[in-house]
Amino acid sequence: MLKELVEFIAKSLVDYPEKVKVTEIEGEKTSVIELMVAKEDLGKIIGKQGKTARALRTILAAASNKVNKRAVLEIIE
Amino acid sequence: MIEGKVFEGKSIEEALEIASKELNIPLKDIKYEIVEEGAKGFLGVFSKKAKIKVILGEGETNQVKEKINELLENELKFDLKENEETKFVEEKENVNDDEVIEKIKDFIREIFGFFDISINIEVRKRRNNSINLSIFTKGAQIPAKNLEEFILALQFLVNKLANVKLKSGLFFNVDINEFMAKKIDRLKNLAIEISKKVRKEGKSYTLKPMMPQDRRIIHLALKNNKFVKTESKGDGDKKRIIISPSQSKMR
Repeated sequence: MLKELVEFIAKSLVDYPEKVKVTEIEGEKTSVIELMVAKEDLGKIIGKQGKTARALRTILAAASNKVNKRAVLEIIE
Repeated sequence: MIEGKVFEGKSIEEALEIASKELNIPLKDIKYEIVEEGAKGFLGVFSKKAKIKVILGEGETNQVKEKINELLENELKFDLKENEETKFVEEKENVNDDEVIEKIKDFIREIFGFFDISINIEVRKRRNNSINLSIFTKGAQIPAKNLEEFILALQFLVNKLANVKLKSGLFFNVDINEFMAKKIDRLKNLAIEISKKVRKEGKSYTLKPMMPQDRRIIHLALKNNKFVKTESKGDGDKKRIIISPSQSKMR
């Protein structure tokens, strides 16, 4: 569910949604979610001063609270 | 009169000076008629620009005539371009506004879907292309540690979608269960309470550090209050507002 949430938001914002790839490495307490986007979209997903990435992390944190987990979002170049 | 080019200025004198510069004619040699006298207006609100029309007589050089033709042509081009652009923007906005709002509502619903929270969204259009989206959750609470941070994050993503992706030119204010509305009310009340104290005691009060959007509410709430003035002091995002007696009161 965390993976799908990140994927949905990322795909909504980028120019090349077909190039959005999200993988989730599930740990016992912590999940690492890796987000990959097209090179051209990298700036869009990070945003000015990392604002978009921060907003994405805030939403993700709330969602992971719901399932009593911790989630880390990594944006991969 | 053969040809005329209109020049504008705050006064007839200024319009003449502009004309003299543009056309390269000495001030005293310009022949002109007054199109509009111009008016100073009240506090600059109803001011009207002075307009003169420069008249070219037989005696003018061809160079000056050419210059005037050139200026007139540029003016025409500019008018055309401006009209085209305005029309384009209007059409774009008319077609897309409601469509964009629907897309944004779907986006928000989908996100809440991941939280298993069903919602109602109330839409209120305001002036200046700004739109209020009031989200009401049915029963369930949002599992965010800091609801305000969550709302601002959602608002940020919504506006990113509306403007970077959909290029709508609309600004969305997002609220969940009236959290922001209540907060704004609290800040307004605080501003009024403190301003009363400041007025009564005649000394300044310094508020706790606040984010820019919160300070804005306080500044606006006391903007028309004659007895106090507000200013922000400090560094970075979180500045403190100082509410102090206004000068006129002290003297």
